[in-house]
Amino acid sequence: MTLPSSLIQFSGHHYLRHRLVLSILSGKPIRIDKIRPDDKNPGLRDYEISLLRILEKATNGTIIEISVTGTALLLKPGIISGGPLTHECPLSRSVGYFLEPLIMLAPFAKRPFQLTLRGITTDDHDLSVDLIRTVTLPHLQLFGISDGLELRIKKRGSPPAGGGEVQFLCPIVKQVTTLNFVEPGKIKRIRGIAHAVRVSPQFSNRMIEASRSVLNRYIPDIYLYSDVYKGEDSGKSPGYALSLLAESTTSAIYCAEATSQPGVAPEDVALLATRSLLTEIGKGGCVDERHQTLVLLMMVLGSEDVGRCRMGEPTVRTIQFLRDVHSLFGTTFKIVPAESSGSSNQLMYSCYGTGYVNVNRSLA
Amino acid sequence: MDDRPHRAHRPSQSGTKAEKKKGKEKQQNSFNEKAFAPKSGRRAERQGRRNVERDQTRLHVPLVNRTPDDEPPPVIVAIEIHKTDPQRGKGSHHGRCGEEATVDIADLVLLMIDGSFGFEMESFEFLNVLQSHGFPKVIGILTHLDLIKKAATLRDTKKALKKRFWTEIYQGAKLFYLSGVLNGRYPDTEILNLSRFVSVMKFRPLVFRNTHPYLLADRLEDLTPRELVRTSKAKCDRTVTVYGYIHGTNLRLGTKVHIPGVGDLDVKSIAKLGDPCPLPDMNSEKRRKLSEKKKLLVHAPMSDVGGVVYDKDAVYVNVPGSFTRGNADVPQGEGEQMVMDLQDVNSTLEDAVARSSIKLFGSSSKALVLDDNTGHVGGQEEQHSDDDDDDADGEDADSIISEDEAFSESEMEDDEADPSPSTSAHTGRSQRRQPTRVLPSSSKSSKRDIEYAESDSEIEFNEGDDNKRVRFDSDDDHIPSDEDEDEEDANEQNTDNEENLPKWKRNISHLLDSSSSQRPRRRDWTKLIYSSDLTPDQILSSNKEEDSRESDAEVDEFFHIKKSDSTNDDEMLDQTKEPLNPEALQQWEDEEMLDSIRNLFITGASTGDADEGGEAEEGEEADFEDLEGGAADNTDEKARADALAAKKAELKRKFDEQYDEPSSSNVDFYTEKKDEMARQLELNRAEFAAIEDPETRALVEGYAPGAYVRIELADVPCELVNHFDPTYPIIVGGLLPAEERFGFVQVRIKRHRWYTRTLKTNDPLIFSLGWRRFQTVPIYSLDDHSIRMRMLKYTPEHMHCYGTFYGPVTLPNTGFCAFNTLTSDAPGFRVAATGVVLDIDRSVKIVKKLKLTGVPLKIFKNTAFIKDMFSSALEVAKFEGANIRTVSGIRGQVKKALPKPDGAFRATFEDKVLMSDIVFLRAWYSIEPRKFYNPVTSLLLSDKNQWSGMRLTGQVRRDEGQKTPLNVNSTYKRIERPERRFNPLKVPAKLQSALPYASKPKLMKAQSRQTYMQKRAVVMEPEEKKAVALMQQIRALRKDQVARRREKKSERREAQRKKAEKEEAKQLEKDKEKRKEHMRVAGQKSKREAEIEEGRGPKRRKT
Repeated sequence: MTLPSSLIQFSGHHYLRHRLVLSILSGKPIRIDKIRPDDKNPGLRDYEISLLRILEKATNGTIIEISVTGTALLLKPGIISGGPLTHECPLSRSVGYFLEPLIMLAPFAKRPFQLTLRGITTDDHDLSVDLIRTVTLPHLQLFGISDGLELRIKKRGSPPAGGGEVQFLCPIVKQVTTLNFVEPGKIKRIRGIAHAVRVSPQFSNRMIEASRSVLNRYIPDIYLYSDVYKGEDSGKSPGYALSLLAESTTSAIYCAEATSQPGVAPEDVALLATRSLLTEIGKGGCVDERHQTLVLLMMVLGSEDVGRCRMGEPTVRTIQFLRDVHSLFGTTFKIVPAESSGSSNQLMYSCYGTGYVNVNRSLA
Repeated sequence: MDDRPHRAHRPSQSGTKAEKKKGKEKQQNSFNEKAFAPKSGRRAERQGRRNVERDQTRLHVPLVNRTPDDEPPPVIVAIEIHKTDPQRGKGSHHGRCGEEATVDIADLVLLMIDGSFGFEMESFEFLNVLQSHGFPKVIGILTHLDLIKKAATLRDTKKALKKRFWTEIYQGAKLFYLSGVLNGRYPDTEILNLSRFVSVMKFRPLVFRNTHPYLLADRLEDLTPRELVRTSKAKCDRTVTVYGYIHGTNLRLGTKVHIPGVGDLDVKSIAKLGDPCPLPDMNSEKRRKLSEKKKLLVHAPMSDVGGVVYDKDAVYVNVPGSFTRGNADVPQGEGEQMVMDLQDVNSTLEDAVARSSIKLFGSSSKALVLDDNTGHVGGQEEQHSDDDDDDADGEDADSIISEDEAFSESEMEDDEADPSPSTSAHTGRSQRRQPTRVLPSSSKSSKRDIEYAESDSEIEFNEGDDNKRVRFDSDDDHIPSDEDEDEEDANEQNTDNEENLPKWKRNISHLLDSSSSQRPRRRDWTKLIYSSDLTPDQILSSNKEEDSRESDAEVDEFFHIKKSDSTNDDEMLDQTKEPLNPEALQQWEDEEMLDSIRNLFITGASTGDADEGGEAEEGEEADFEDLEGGAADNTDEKARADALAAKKAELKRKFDEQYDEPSSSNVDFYTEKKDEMARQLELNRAEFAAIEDPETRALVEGYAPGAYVRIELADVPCELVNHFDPTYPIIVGGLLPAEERFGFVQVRIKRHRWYTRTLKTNDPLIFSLGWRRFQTVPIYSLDDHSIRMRMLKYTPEHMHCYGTFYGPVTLPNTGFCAFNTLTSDAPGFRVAATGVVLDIDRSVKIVKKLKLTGVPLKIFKNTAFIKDMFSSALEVAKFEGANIRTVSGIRGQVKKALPKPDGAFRATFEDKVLMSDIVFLRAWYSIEPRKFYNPVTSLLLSDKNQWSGMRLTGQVRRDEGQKTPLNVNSTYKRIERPERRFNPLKVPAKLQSALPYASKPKLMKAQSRQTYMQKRAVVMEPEEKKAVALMQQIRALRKDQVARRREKKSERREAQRKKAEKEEAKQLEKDKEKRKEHMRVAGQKSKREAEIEEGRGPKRRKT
């Protein structure tokens, strides 16, 4: 078993975000090459460049070198400085793409993050701001990051023209607490947000109706909010979406979302979201697939104790994430089938935290 | 002293004395509960409050103790002796650098103080260093007390020293007294008492050590190839192993380490070795005394016992001089004996195995016979089973499973730890080494093997008809890696693959199919993720398509690769949300499907889950009944009762959970936190205990404190080995990932009050911070109204200030101390400053004052042109709008650059300035500390105490014979101020006439013409002259008389005053005495009154 050399090599454009995050958190420089070398349009995409920009803004002393062709990238991380920041996200990706890595970094900054992002707030690829607000941020609360953690949706912006604005506030912590989350519990409440911008406000009500038609059979505690933004705040393009979340007795959260498609009735969008929520609930576990990496990262960064979490099988991203964690932090997870899981393929992830302490936090 | 036994005391059995004693005993036995009862209610309340307060002072912030209780590392005790103390008894004296290094890791410090001399400055220096590193436990030991002859003086000395010691450490710190030296030793009883005290001592974990792993090396080996050393003339970087017990936290792979005095080093590998000095267990406790042989087994750090050195996988035998056989009269060391025994052997291990007969069971009559293809010996076999990548020997392994087990159990201990083929009864290695030196992996691997065998047997049952026994690892065969590699091979060279494939392997697929149909496949995710080369896609896809892939591997694989290639293209975005699949979601239209997850909701709980559980219970019971049948009714009833009790307990637990919140919150915060920590520790221990494979375990959790490990370090400077001195401790401190980086460190620093000189900005200072000791150049600063950090040239006299330097990142709140020099011959107190780390950053904002001056070029009314402040129009442009000021205090603003003289500009002022005014602009110039970091590499020197870093500026000048550079503009010169002449104020006549009288200019000039009287001369008559002269004489006489009288009077007065003073002093003394007496009486009176009051208080209340 040899020590990884100080410069860590990766190749390919995949998993760029978590690699950058891990590098900044661990302080180890990384080099990523072969970024779309055989593509018609080789090198980094505009949103990736934009991500690098915002990472540079959010840190102090970071050196990012991109090769002439754009197919290689060298990152020498500095410290996470935080503070007030504003960033215009390109219209090729939604703000969720940029928020996800920043959420991982924000608790370990020098000053509390006050980040304003402008662009598309909900799209098909990344977590919408609603889900980040209602699902991702509560996941941070599992690790003791709660006071002052907030995502304000100032304006909504649908693709393609965007025009939305969100403000992300995150406190800083000294150290995240160790997670021990093995009991998925039973679903006790379902919440949802149906939003519609630049379309008839009736659309959101129609979505709620359709969703309720399926969900009402399970529990009475269902609140689906209709969230209509008007005028200035509604962005530049029409669109609507339904995001749903189900919370269990042990506050495990399952979520699903569907966005408007051209030529699809709002009822169908709602049914799609509802059914995918049921699928998520059926999968079980304490953390859903989308938040696996976030939870695992925080477990790695926990104090030098054993953290445990019960989840489903790792996704492709998670597997690569675990490998990258191993090469950057040296932490290995123990992954065994959860006892009493029965026929379902639930796994128990446990690891020894690295005892990561927020070095950036100043004492005075 | 007098060892003669005294006669034992014999108490009298009868008589008055005995009677008295009996009565006393009776009294003693009965507990008098009134004895300590409070006299009054108020006192009771006060007592109660005091008790509570005392309890609170006992509490400390709970800290997790990461050291395991079952196998703790040995306690590190540092003994601190100072130079005037000649070395007596036990203990060793390290130099300065070693001393500071030990401070970082010592659990307990024994501070030797010469009682006859008192505290020395070094002791105080040492205590200050301790304090800045978290203050481990300190026990003072007063020695040389025999030099004080008089009992009273001795008592006073002890008292005085104790008082000082307590103020320095804490009230009640333990202080031992060693009375004196007898026959070159301290009294045995005193030393015994001390060591007993040390052995039962409890240590509170220190924060820094609770977050860093570290070890004190007790051995150091140079593993560099000799040839390389020779060719490079001993100048090449070395590979070095250090050995020691881990302390602090778990030491994990991939961490860098720092050796104070050497630098940051990479860890090449870590291996756990057997404990060379194991704790006493049940077996060793039975024999209270060590046998003579065992006494050889001393664990002697940094030394060579018996010429034999054990390593992870080798034994080094040190042979003195020429080694010849048959020289029996010379006493032989253990190693020599070993070598000779080896030479005696004339049969190999293989022969021995062949000769030995192994029985499967103790009772079986026939020994097992080995086939000739089982030439492998146990040790090798073990390794094959570890990772079964090479398939060739699979067949061999099959048939000897059982033999293998039995064999491994019998022979394991012998051949695992020692690679040399020693099998005869007279092996050089004696039996006694085994419990300590055997690698932990050996025993564990044998155990694992047995488990595998068990899992195999399960599959064998499934197989049934096949009479050939098949063996494979249950772990490995589910990993597609083997098959995948095979299949890839198949793609490339599919001609002779089928023939090459071992027979057993061809069976596998069928076997797997049959087994998988019966129970769900368990995949070893840890291995899949961390030790296979598959891409994440492949891992997941193999999961889904396992069965189909198995049937026609080649075709499928072919397409599979293609597909993955296509997905590698752009369509796969880095996205969190999986795209929704409406087709797959169609299944939820089905009512049954919708009902199937009902049990996952709280409302569905009663119908779904619990019922199932209930049924299962019922079923179990039914089975139970079936099995036990009509055997006995009472057992049946009992079982039912048990089940009922269990059910009740479960219900009670649920009820408690729901409603017992208040009672559980009754536990106070402190206990709650402690319980939480204990629970977490328990979990830590339990979670990975199940992992048998030590390598995997080390990968997951690292090496726990208490483990004896061997750390291989790469690229160690050769000087460490060349100038190695075992009297200087080598400490290996683990670094956190963040600590490998460098940056600007901001600290709160205070010059030590005993350090005589002030510290200067940009003068080098040696910091001892965390593991590291380094020299760097700090810049001192103070916060200027929270607006800016203003540089200070010198540290303030009695105040904290900020210091900023370039250095390794250290966690905020880490303490440090700083030195100007480390040499032991430096006069005075050496701890220059102490402080704490506040902040880490990559840039700093420290400014110093900059004043730009200029002079007026031309003056209009309130506007003036200023020159000589800037040198170009660009500079002016940068400062447009800046505030400026004249020396006389007229404020203004920079407006715009002028075209003509370069750097001149127009400025406006609030009043008209003078040509003689100097205009200045106050600005702030930001400075950055120099990026100078010079680690103290004292261990690399031949003389460890003589490390010297960069010299101080003054030192350099002194050495070079240079003078302080003198800026001519900065020298103080005589200020010559020419007399200023002002023009007379002229008020125009017209204005003058209009002014009121008060404002009219008055005639100021002195009269130049002589007056009438001045012009006239006075001539006196002779008579007149006489009269005037007489008058003058009389006046003179009178004057003289008055003066004399006055003098006399003052003399008298002086005498009077002195006398009065004396009187007064006397009176004062008297008054004081009187007052004292009065106060004493009054105090007694009031006390008595208070007592009476108190005594009466409760009575009055009662009535």
